[in-house]
Amino acid sequence: MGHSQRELLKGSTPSLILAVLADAPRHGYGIAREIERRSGAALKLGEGSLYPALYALEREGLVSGNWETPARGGPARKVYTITEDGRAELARRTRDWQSFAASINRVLGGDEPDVQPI
Amino acid sequence: MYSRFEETPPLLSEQEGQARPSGQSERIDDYLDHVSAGLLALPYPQRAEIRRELRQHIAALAAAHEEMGSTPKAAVEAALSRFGDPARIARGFVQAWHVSSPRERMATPWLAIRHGLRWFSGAMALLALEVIGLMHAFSGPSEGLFLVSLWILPIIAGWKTGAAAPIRAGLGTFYALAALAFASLPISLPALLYLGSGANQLTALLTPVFAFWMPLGCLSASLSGTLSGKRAARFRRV
Repeated sequence: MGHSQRELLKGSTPSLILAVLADAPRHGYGIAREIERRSGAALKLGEGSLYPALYALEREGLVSGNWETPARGGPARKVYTITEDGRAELARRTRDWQSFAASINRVLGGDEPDVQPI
Repeated sequence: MYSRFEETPPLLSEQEGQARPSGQSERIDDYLDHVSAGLLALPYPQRAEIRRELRQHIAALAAAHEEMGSTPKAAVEAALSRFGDPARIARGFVQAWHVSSPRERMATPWLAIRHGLRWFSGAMALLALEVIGLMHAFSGPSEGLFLVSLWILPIIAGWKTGAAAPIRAGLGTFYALAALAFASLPISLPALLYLGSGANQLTALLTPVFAFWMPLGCLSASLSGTLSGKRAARFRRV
């Protein structure tokens, strides 16, 4: 991953976390692996930025964390669930991202504005 | 929403603490010590919870690396390299802490004193009402109210203060005294001005406060502070 991609990823970390939690509650390890899996291992979110971002989201009330003991036994893990506010924030961030990406595409791509998927 | 952070995270099982060979475990502890050192701005329960969560994740990553054929030592190093510079992680947490909820930025002593102040002031108001009512004889003395304001409320006030100051047991007592001093200011200041002018309602009000509340509140604060301190000590190796 190049430097510019890392910088982009840094700002998008909260959006990625919210998107992954929108499907199912997960613990920190699960969130990191799911982001990797969905991006086809292209996005390797460093754990060092995952946890501060999760902490910020929890403090803003966008996700809520609870310690739960897995059904198959083993130590309790902190499982994060997206809140209603979190879903609203995810929708807003998705909209912003799409309009931002479309604008950048128009400038970079130049010739083909507003290409709609078939 | 934020009250969740004041809850104590569940205790670590012994099995979890001994999951890795001691050399690797020490390496993880050393790393977590470096993260924790940068988190002093956060209240203790949050630091303990963060430490516990990071430890679990590092252990899970290391286990995954071992399954892929790494030696235990290399597996832990690979896991830690994903987490990166401990000081940088700590800065991320502290930044998030400062950005959100300014109410909770207060230092722990002030949080403890605020807890105590809230309860001592309530008790003080109740007692003042009772004593003034008694003096003016517009209402009969209520034994139940006296029991609550003289005995039960100072115990609760002390308990809350001590529990909010969990780092060292003795500090709970100190904070309870500080909260009591603040809470009694509106009554003790005029009482000091009136000093020497003979018995009056204010000194009558202050006598039970200092005779009952100080020992009761302080005893309760040091007891709850000790209990919280012990619980905190069990987390130190999380």
